Formats: sequence, structure tokens, C-alpha cells
Amino acid sequence: MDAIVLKELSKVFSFKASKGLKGFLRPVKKQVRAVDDISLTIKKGETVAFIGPNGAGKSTTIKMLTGILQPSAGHIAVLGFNPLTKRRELAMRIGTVFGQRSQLVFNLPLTDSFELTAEMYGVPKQEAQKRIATLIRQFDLTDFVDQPVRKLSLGQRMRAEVANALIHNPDIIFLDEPTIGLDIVAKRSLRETIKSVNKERGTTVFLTSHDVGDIEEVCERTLIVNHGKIVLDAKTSALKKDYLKRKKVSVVPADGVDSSVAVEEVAAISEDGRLVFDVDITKTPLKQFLPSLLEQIDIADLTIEDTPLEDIIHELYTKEK
Amino acid sequence: MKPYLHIIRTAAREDSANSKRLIGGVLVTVVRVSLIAAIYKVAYKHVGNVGLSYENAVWSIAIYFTFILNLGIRNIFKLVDIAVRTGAVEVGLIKPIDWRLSKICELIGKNGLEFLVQLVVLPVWLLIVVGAPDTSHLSLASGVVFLVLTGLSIVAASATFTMVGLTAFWLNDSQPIYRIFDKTTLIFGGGFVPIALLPHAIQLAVRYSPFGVYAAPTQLFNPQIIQVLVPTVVSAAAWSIVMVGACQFVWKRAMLRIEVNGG
Repeated sequence: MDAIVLKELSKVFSFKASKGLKGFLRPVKKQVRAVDDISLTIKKGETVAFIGPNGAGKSTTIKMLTGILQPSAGHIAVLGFNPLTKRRELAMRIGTVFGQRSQLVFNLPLTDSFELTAEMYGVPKQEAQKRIATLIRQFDLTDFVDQPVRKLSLGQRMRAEVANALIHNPDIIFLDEPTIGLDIVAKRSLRETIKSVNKERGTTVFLTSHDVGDIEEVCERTLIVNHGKIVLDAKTSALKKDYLKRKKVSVVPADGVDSSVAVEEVAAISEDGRLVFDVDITKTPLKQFLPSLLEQIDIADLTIEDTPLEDIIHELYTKEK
Repeated sequence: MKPYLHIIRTAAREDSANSKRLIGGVLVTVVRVSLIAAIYKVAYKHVGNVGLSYENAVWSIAIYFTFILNLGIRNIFKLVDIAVRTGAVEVGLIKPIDWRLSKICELIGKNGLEFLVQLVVLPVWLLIVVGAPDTSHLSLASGVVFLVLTGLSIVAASATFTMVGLTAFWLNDSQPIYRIFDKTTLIFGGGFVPIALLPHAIQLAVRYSPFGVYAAPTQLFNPQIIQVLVPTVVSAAAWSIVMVGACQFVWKRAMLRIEVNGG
């Protein structure tokens, strides 16, 4: 079954363009198309990254999906509900985490927030206690579950936010930058937990993030949105394969670094006692580049790296501009 | 209804952790009422009885402060204003409960304990400092009517001050609008002078205005109110309906402006 279906979805914002007395007397209105004719389908249980530069239309789309904003045109169905007319029914079936907005009770222990959420979503008391205990274990919250939320570290709080969003066992969880501000250890731990929730409960994950690690480690599918349009809809694993055009070949020469060297017309850059070649594999395939390299330079060590996914995504953003 | 009761309980627990605020709030009201009682004592010495005894005048103002300041329904504007300006309102809208009602419950939970403590502390203090008020005009039936009036007052004030907070959607800061409403309530609701001591024409206008509705419970010690209790209740009920309707209208308009806040 489909979790989310969008058909020709658009959102146009209008705002006053003129300011001051002139603007008051003769208001000029301008329009911005924040979401432009988006159509997509997300199946139940999928893990989807919804990414794009600032102002691309991500937040607007999430707000329409959750019933906060009214679309200007098009059709939305989330778990079969129209979010605008069935907002509360839909709210019972979705969970949300906003990295920059806490949904926990600041001055009370975590358990109070969990109990309040369970009550809000009508989870029977005994069932709620069971689920809370399971989530505390699954999210490794035991050590600080009795501490007031204000005393938790950011990493602990974010794990608790995600656990809190899962108390009513939602079918979809919307995660808006869940790892923002977290250190590497906390990020890894949170990503692992989100993945396990998806596997064990079959919860559909809809994630927006500027952190490529979130996308690579959590999401099977990536949607890139820019200027309100979907510019790419692909399997995350295929992203690199299909869009990888460059390789970074780094060598440590046995007889000292000579940065004036060029191999197959690819110039070297000297970096920390290494020579680095940025090879465009569409023009110079590695099978052609590497023999020439070995012939020209006496090599003590060699590494070949893919272009980071971050650079690929950046290239896709800028290409669209 | 259960989630809302849970919100009240959670907010009360959260606030009870801050005992300094609780004690401070109670003391401020006690000091304020004591100062007003001292000023009134001097004034009553000069002008004599003006239709309301000195004790009843001070007890009326004490109720005003306990109800308006300690319970503080008017402060719903601040919760709404902050939520609108920070965009937190959007998070609230994703919950399966009514966001406005949840905010009112949060406020009642936060201020409820202070209000209940004040209901015990202030009467004891006033009995010692001012003396007992004249309650010969009160009966069980009028007591029940006053409870109804209190309920209607909470409904009307909640709706009005939620609306004031929602103006932040248009003005970015609802504080100026709040000040107008709050000071008008203070003047015409009996914060400075009990309603019973206002000129007759103003009393009449106030009684049937929303400001009179917000402060209706403060009339408990005004013996003249008994004669007009029924029209006062009818007016309070009518204004409650009007204000809830107006709040609903403003809310719907405000929802169309969410785009401005981070859309």
C-alpha cells in the first residue's frame, strides 16, 4: 500500500513587495512558487530522504503533508487521508521530529513527556507503559530517563525526541533534520536506531537533512528537490554509480614529489607529500589513466577515492540552477 | 477530555518544581492588596461610606488580583504570541488535540497551584488586616451562580486573549494589543476601583461589556449585584459565545498566514 501519494502538488505564496507609505497606499503583491507541480508515490515501509538547498520547498511540502498548509493546487493522500480535512485522524497515525523544536516537557523527567504523548494519542495506560519500556530499551535511554529534559545532552535529547514520536506506533515518521548539531557518535547511534525502527516496525521514514551521512546510512531512496521541483528521484545506492564522474587518485611517489607532473593531460596537485589527480573518468577512464601513471611515476603508495556523495548532490543542485 | 486533564497535571507538576516563582507570585499579590487596602483606608476616612463598605471594597480588589493575576488567564496571549513568533505553533498543529485548548490547559496547570495557594493565603491575611466582608447578600444559589459566572469569565477571557496572541500572525508582536485590552480590563474590571464604586452609567456599560465579563467574579462582595445577577449571567453567556466565535474566525484567518512563519 502507498504511504504518501502526491499528484501535481503546487504551493504559491504571495507577499507584499512594496514597502513604506507607497506600499501601504499602492500595495504590490508578488508570488513565489514554493512547490511546483510535484508528483510522487512513497510505499509503506520505504526510507526516503527529501533533500535540497535552503528554500527549495522541503518544509513547505512537509507542512502540506501534515495538514498545516493548504496546497494551491494538486492532490495529497497520506495513508489514504487528505491531510487538510482529516488532520487529526492523520495526526494519530504519524510521528514528527523537528531537530530544532523540542516536543518534550523541559523541566520534567523524560517519562513525563512519554506519558503525556501516550495520553494525547489515546494509548491505553498498560499498553503505553509497555511501549515506553520498549522504547527506553531500544533507544538506550535508561541512564537518563529520570532526569529533567533540560539536563540532557543534545544527543540524548534527540534520541528521546525520536522515541517520543514513536510511542503511538505511527505508520510514518517525518524527521526534519534529526541529527543537526549532534557529534559523530550521537549521529551514528541515532541513525542506527532509526534504521532498526524501520526494519522492525515497518515504519515509513521521511527524512529531510543537510547531512549526507543521514541520507547514505538511513535512506534507500533519495528525492532531490530544488526550486520547488523534484530534480532527482533515485535509489541512494545508485546515486553514486550513476552520477559519479570523477575519481580522486592519490599517490606517494617513491622518489619525492614533483608537482609539475601531468598524466594523460591530468595535472597533479601536491598535498601533504602526495600527488593528487582529479580524474574525469568520462574523458580518461581509469584503465587508461592508471597504466600511464605507473609508467611515469615510481609509486610507493596509491589510493583511489570516489567523489563524496556531498559533492555529487552539490553538483546536482548547481546544475539545476 | 483526558488528554487535556493530563496537560493540566503535567504543567502543574512542571511549575511546582519552581517553588520560588510560586512563593513570589503569592507574595506580590499580598503586598499589592495590602498597599491598596492602606490607600483605601485613608480614602474611606475622608469620604465615608460610598455605597460599598471598606472591607467589601478591599475584598473585591483582592478577588480581582487573585483571579486576574494569580490565575492569569490573560497570559494565554503570551503563550500564543511566543508560539506564533517562534513557529512552535506548527508543531502543535501536528498533534491530535486542539492546540488552543491545550495551551489554555497548560496555562491553568501552570498558574492553578499559585491560584489555589492564594485562595487560602489572601483571605487569612485580609481577615487579620482588614476584617471579614459583609456576605449577608450571598446564598447557596447565588454562590452557584457566581461559580457559573467564573466559568463563563474564564471562557470569555481565554477566547479574547487567545485572539490577542493570534494578532502576532499579522503584527509580529501582540504586546501592544495586549496592553490595550489588559489596561482596559484593569480600569473597568475593578483592578483600581471596585466596579460598585464606579459612576452608575459606567457601571452599567461595564457590566454588559466583555471587560465586565472577565471581572465578573470580582463582584462577589458587591451586594447590589444580586439584583442584576440574572442579566449579568445572560450578558456573560452572550459575550462568551461571541468571543469564542470571534476567536474561531481569527484562528481560521491566522491558519492561512502560517506560510509567513517559515513556509
